[in-house]
Order: sequence, then structure tokens, then C-alpha cells
Amino acid sequence: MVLKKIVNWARVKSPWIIHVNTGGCNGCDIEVVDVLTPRYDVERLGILIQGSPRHADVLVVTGPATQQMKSRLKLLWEQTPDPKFVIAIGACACSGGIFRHSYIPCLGIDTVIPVDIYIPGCPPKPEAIIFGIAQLLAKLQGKDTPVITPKEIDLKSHIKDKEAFAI
Amino acid sequence: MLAVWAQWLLLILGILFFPGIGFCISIALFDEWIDRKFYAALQDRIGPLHTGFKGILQPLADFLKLLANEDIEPKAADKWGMRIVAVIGLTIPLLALLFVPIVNLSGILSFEADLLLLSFLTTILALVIYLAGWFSANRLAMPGTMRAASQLLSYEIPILMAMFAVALRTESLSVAGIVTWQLEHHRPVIFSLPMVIFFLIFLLSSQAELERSPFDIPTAETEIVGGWEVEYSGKKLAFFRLSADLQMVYAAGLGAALFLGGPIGVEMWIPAFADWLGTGASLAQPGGVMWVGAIRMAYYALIFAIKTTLIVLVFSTMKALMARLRIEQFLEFSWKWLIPVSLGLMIVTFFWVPWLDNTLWSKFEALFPGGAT
Repeated sequence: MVLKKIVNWARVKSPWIIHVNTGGCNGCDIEVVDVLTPRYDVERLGILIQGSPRHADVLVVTGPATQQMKSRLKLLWEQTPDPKFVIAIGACACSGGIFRHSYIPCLGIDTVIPVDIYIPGCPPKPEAIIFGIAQLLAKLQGKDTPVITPKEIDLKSHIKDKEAFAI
Repeated sequence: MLAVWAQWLLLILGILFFPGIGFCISIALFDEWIDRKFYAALQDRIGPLHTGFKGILQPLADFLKLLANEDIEPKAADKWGMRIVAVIGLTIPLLALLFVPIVNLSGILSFEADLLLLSFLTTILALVIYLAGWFSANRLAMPGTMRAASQLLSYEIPILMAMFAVALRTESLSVAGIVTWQLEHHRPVIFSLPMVIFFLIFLLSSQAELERSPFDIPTAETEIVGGWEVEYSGKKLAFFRLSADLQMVYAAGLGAALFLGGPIGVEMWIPAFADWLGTGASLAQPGGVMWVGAIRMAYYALIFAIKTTLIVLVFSTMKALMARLRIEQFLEFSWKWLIPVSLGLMIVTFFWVPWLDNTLWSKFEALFPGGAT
């Protein structure tokens, strides 16, 4: 019981992600990269981006899952070690988006692999992506709302040239 | 005077907990946190924040999570090979850390010429990494393996040069002898002029051995998705990551012991303090005063932690400042620059340093009459 609690704590504190594009327009991918850059910096929550699906826990999927990517997405999901979670980012990944009614049926990635969290938007803002990740972590803990207590950081004290930032 | 069984018990407890495995693993996780935090600060980020105090438990959380994850073994891979290699990869840095002086002037295990054993263990680590890539039988692991093998073997030589230059300087082949030399001569080895350059060579080559940026070509995540460790998941990946942290502590601890005086702090220049510390009890000297021995252990461990952490900060600065080059550029740098320079400096050490000892350092040592011998 205690062991289970410790493992769950560790799992909540270090979700490692791998980023998969299944044929999107690259808009969501730019936002995913934004999340990892200094302004949003999700390493605060222990999130690291990994190159190999074997090292990752969370598949961050963008794009509508085209015919060519379907089998490959399934393969990537199978290569990820258990327990694994999937976040669908953007309207395409959630439901197919503008490709839904095209001549090739692209109905979103949940027609291929099970999805835990949907983050709609075209593209979603980085704040929305972070909120989605926080929702996933809350789900892991068995709660409804995100449980990360915000910490106040005085960013103004880091600004060297104060006049340049004066409004 | 302790009984024989009590001495054995203390030795086993020492290997398991305080200066041994437990302490080394905790300082390895601590140094990974320091590394990540400082790296993030250099990139204008915040780094791990929500896990424990300022994210200090982040490496522990990563390790535990990987231990609990599923352990996938590919069909084509050599399964027993993968398992054995992961365990050996964790064992070797732990074994090497037992020879590094942490709470005493010598390591827990120590004998004459243990520097030779340490150089041997460093080479075995390169072989383990090569085998780790080979056993996983992956088309992305193979180029990573070949890069790792060529890079580790070519940067091994400057490290060995630096280690044996220090041995030449201090006329001792044991780590304990080198540390004692520094205490007796009232100065760390790095104060002799060619040794500064050897220290820089040691740091640079250690960075290459640890496969950290800018030398992370074997595990380049953006091109060969993790290099030789691409197929490792779950427990094996946890072992390899912990092994990397332990190797970082080992490199920093060895650098501190060889060049910066190991666990010796200010008593290098205060002989009375050194003599007082010398009266403490230890396993090698069971007749000493108990509480002085306890204070000495804590003091030496603190100085060791400070020195290794400073070297880790240098490592992370290198990681943040420099960009990755191609593999053959790095090999060229080693064979065309580092190795000839360190060979030349070996000759300089052999001929020039004894002369320098007679003219300059004998006057310096005359400032400290008696004590600390």
C-alpha cells in the first residue's frame, strides 16, 4: 500500500513525454515546443522530452492520424512501456478538425489509440497545454481538478534593466 | 580498542551506508538536481520546482518511476546480456567510488597502486556501454554504440595521462598517497603550473566520458533518439541513469582527490588543526578519540560534497555553453590536440617540476614549521 503510494507519487512527479506528429500542419508542434521553452518551462513539473518511446510515459500527439501514420502511431504506442498515457493536442488530434469531412476519413487519434486527455484548439495556447497536463496529473492522483499548488516567483527581481520593461 | 568483529561490522556498514553505497547514491541524486537546476538557470529557466523543496526530490522521483515502469525486452535483443550489462553498469561506478577518499584520507577500500585499478575500471565502463548498445540490436543503437566506443576510447587516454601526471608529480600510485602528499606539502596538486592544464584536460575529457553535451554525440536525442540506450526502458534505464549520475560524482570526486586535495579543507594551511583531526578514531587507527573521529568524518564528507558540487557546476556550465559538433571533429580534437598536449606536459612535469620544487616550493613549505606529517 505504502509502496503503491510512493510509486504513484513518483509517477505524478515525473511524466516524461514523447512528441508525435501524425500529419498535422505543425502549428500545434510549435505550441508544444513553446511549452518546453524558458517562458513556460514545464521542467518545473518534472516533465522532460525524450527521444525514444521506450523512455517516455506520455505520448503527446498532434495531427489527425492520416492513413500512413495510423499503423506507425499504433506501433509507437505499443513501444511505450506501461503505464502509458496519451494527450491529444489540437482540434485535428481530438476529432479530425478540418480533415474530418475530407475525402480521406481522418477522425482523430482516438480511432487508433486510447486517449486520456483532449486539448482542443487550433492550435491550443501553451497555457491550455499545461492545464491539460495538470489535468492528466490530477487524473493519476484520482482527483477532478489540478492539484499543483502555484508557487509565487518574483520575476521582477530577475529583470536587470528595469527601465526597458517599464510600462 | 574495538573487537575484530566490531571492526568488520563497521566496515560493512561503511560500505553499505555512510561513506559507501547509500551516501554515494544520495550525493549522486543531489548532484543531478544541482546540475539540472543550474543548467536551467543558465538557460533562463527555473528547472524542477514542485517535487520537494525547490524540486530537490526530482531525480529520486525519476528513478522510482523508472523502477516501477514496464521493462520491455525486444525480441531480437540479447535478453540476458541486456540485464547483466545494466547491473554491471551500475556496479562499476559504485565500486570505483569506494576507492575515492570521502570521509578519510583514503577511500574505504585502498591499497598501493589503486590508481591503476581505477584506470582499469574507467576502461571497463567504456566496454560496458559498447556492449549495452550491441546487445539491444537496434538500428538506431548501432551508430550510437560505434560513436560511444570511439569517443570513450579516445578521451580515455587524456584522462589516464592526467591521472598519471599527478602520480608522477606526487610520486605515489595510490589515491591515498596523493591526498596525503597534498596535506604534507600544504598545497593542492593544482598549484603546480602544468597541473592546472592537466586539470582542465581532466575536466574536458571527463565531460566526454560522461557523454554530456557538448560531447553527447553517442546519445544525441535529436538525431539517433538516445543512441545506445534507445531500447532500454524501466529498471534498466533507471540503472543506466543512476549509473550516469554516479559516474559524474566519481569523475568529480576523483578530480577533487587528485587535483584539489580531496576531502582536505582549511587544515591544509593550519597544521595544528590537521594534527588535532589526526587524533580521531578511524578503522585504520582504532585507538583514537571517538568524538574527534566523528567530527572528522562529518567535516571531510562536507568538504568532499562542496568540492564535487563545484566541479559538477563546471560540468553543467560546459553543458550549457557549448554546442554539439560532429563525431570526427571531436575525435580529431582528442587525437590531434589533447593527447599531444598532455604528452608534452608529461615531459614538462618530469623535468621542470623537480627544479621548481627546489627553488620555489621549498621556500613555501618552510612557512609551515612542523605539524601535519
